[in-house]
Amino acid sequence: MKFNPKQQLKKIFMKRIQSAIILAFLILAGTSQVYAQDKVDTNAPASTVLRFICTSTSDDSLLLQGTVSVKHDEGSTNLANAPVSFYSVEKDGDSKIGESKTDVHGIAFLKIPSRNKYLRTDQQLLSLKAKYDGSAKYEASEGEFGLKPAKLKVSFYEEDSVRYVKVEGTQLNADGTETSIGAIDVTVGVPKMFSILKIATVSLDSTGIGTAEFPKDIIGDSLGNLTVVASIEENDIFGNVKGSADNTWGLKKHLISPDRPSRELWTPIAPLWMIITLIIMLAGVWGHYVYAIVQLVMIKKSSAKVVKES
Amino acid sequence: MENKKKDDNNSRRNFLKLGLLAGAGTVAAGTLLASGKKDSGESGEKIKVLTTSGEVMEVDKNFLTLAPVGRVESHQGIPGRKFVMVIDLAKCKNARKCVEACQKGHNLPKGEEFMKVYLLQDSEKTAPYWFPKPCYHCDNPQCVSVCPVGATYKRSDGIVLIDNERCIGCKFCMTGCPYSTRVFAWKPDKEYEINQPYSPEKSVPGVEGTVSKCDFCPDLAREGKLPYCASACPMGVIYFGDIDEDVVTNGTETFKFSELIRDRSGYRYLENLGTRPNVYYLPPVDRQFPVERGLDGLDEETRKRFDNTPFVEKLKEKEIKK
Amino acid sequence: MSDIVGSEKLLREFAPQIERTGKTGKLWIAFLIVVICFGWFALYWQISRGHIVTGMRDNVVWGVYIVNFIFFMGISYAGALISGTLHLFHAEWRKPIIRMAEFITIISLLIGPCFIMLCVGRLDRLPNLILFGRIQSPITWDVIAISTDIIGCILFLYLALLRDLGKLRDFAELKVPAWRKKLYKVLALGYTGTPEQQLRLKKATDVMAGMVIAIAIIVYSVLAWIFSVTLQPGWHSTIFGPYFVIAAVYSGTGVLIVAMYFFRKAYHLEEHITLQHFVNVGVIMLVLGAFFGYFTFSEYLTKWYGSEKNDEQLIQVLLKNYFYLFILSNYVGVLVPLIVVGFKKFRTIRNITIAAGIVVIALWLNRYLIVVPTLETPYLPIEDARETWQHYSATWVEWALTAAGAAMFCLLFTIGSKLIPIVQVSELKEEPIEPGDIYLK
Repeated sequence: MKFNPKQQLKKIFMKRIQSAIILAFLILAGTSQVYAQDKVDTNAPASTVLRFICTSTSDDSLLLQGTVSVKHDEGSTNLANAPVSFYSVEKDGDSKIGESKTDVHGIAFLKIPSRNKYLRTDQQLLSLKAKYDGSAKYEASEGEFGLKPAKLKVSFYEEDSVRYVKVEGTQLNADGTETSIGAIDVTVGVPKMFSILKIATVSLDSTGIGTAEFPKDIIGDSLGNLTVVASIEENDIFGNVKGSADNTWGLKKHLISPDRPSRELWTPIAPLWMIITLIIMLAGVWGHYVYAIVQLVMIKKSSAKVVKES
Repeated sequence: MENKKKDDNNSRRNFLKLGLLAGAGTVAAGTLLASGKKDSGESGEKIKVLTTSGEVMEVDKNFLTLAPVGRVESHQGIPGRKFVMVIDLAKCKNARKCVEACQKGHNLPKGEEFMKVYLLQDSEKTAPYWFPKPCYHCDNPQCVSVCPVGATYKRSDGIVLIDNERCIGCKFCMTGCPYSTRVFAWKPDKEYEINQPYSPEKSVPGVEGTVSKCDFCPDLAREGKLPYCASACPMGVIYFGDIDEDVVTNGTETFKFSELIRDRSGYRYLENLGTRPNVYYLPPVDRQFPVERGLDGLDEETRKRFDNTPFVEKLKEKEIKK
Repeated sequence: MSDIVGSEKLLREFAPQIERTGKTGKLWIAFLIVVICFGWFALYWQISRGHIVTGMRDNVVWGVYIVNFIFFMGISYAGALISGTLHLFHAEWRKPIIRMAEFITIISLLIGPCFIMLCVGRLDRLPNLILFGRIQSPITWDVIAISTDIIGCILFLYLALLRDLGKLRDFAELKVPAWRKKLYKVLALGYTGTPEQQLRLKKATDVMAGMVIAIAIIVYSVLAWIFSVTLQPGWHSTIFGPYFVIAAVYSGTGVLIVAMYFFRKAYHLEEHITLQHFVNVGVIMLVLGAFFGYFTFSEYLTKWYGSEKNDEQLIQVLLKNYFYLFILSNYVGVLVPLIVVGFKKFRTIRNITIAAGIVVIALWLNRYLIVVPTLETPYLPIEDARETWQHYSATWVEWALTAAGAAMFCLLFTIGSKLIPIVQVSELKEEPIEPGDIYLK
């Protein structure tokens, strides 16, 4: 076979083209995979946010709430079953208070007594931290909260046939003493099905006491019982404080709308007159049918008789 | 501390909303599982649900909050409640987040809407306004009266539900409703193919050849959450509550229902028809922004809807004159 | 008017119809079957792809199917009313056409409900209507009424047929297959025309004739109430009951005249169905047409005169989008029969038939204009970008099924005329005044 330089050049050229095509394909495939990976994000853990709030409740405890949420394209979604650890920030590092897992709503709860030995800052605030250690899929995150434990006491009294609600605020100092809180606004409300109805805003005076007139037209349960909740929200020093008490000053709840009638056009059972009319009409019409059919039957019978006779 | 304060401020607002996040399927607030491994609390039995981002994922059965209420139980209302909705027309700017959240929450195909937003103008010289319209769950429901098989029914808590396993699709209820509330499933949509037990309280999954409508989300109400539309509205237009408790809320503000209606002159739409609806409207007084704002940012098809309204035609005329 | 001939002669004359089918007959039946097959295909298409293949959408939820349903139910009452009334009035001239009227009744009663079923979204749940029926719903009233009506009309037809069946059974020369002879024997119930049997038959027929008239009115009113009890602006009218009944009988007479014309041609019945028959039925049509025109005028005058916004909107839509259909249905459909039958000069068989054909079309359009434009103008404006959701236009599926329904009607009519003589072969004599008297065989 003759050595054809042209043919050889052609061969090399074709080979080059082929490898270029293969290379281009690989590059394309590779990059698309990379992009796809970016979207699916199976390797890089998603970033999370831990929101940490604390509330002083009326049973002398602190409720720590850590909510873990994951950021993604359309907003954020809460993370369930995530272990959240709670710490107190001490001089020589963090001392672990406890741990709990977030529930189906993505919130982890921990209750600790208000009277505790954790370190307080110069302003007598407890410095608390919540940490989520992350996992292969999700990044770690943490949140901090500082508060001074406090308590709100709610009580009721009547004077000159006017009803009042009284709120007393006390704070728990580092040495275990309780002193009153002053110059703070406290919201007083009644919890309802979806939210809390605010009925008054009370200003605590220097002795930590505030009163407001209790409105006459709050609706309670069917016996007139009401739960009244006093709360301080997002205070710089005290964080969140809640206290509650029950009274019987609510209006009795009854169906404002009339008692459901049992027979209407739209009830399962029809109005009586409709049923009666229907029965009468059907009986009338089908009665005539039966009469005609009876005549036919008699015709048949009589023909049989004729046949017999003949 | 300041930054943390702001953060916590938002966190509180969001905290209330977190529980009310629009989520498809029955996993509360569409939570994700932190670990894939079997843990204590997991039953091992997986159910497929949709997350807010539209992925189908398998969730352990125990992570579902309340099991969906069955068909027979759904005839009983939530005891001691009677639901009412108040819509503030002064704040609505056609953001359509209510429409989208409802569609997501009920797995509706794009063309089907339980909550509809109209651009209405009562007469030539009166001001136009955006008009969100869910089902009114009337106290004298014409749709229930005309149903031949009892597929739609009114419960003690005022909610009118549809049992899509009994509905024969005769569409008489659709002609019976004067508010054009009901929608029909004209074709088998892929959104209907969810592996989930059917509950009239969830109106999910949809059934081809039957009628459906806004249901006031009784499944969410049982968990103390507001309906999808009320939680999703960025302007807080939709208030929801128990009329016997006399309280309505939009998630951030809470009012006494009687005071709200009295002070803001609430009314019901087409009152003279005698259907006694359970949705009240607050007139568009002291509007917070012009009506045209509602036409911004809409996709082409949605924008086209309002082309025949006198208001949009006037706008076009003004444009041409310029 | 044909003389009352000896029964044997009539039978011999009509025997060929029953015994065999001519070439044109066979072609006709084949054509009908093709149309019906196309209808079956359209039905399959609808069931497999969902109702989205029709033109109905969320606002206009009832379209051509419901119009057909109302139309066919309407025709049926005409047959019942005409045969019932004429029976009670002892109108002698009715004899040749009464069978046709009864056939129209039964066949359209069988086809009408089929159209309702096409409109229902979940056919597999139809038993719910009986298992869970709510008697507050007009549809339940309709289900009860239509079932009662079907039974009643079949019973009435059967009673009228009984003597003819007896004749067919006894006619030895009849050349039909053995199974048909057996059929006649069984159905004839051994009727031999004894005085006792004649009396029983008379009593039963009288009762059923009265019943059939009452039922026809009630059933069609129930159908009208399905529309008028809703709050829809165009439907919530107090006169819908009588309006629909009049319109129904009007359309029925139209169909009867057309049927008379075609059977007269096909079976050479010129001797029995004469101009006088056409004129008589035509006069009934004229009277009903006048009433129909009166009701329609009253309806639209009231809507137009009052200033209510929704009525105004409806009239606007009717006159803007449906102008020619409106004129055809409500003006032409009333005036043409009035003129053609009213003036002696125009009364020819062909003219009357053409007028009847126009009546049939005009009344179908009248039902369409009642059902669809109202749904296109609800209280809340239709704000939708999709064209099909704003205006209703029927798709090929709906038209195919409409054609199939009409074809089925014709087919069943043709087959019926093959089994039983289309003209009554047994005699009628003037009925004596005393109820004790009987008429002879």
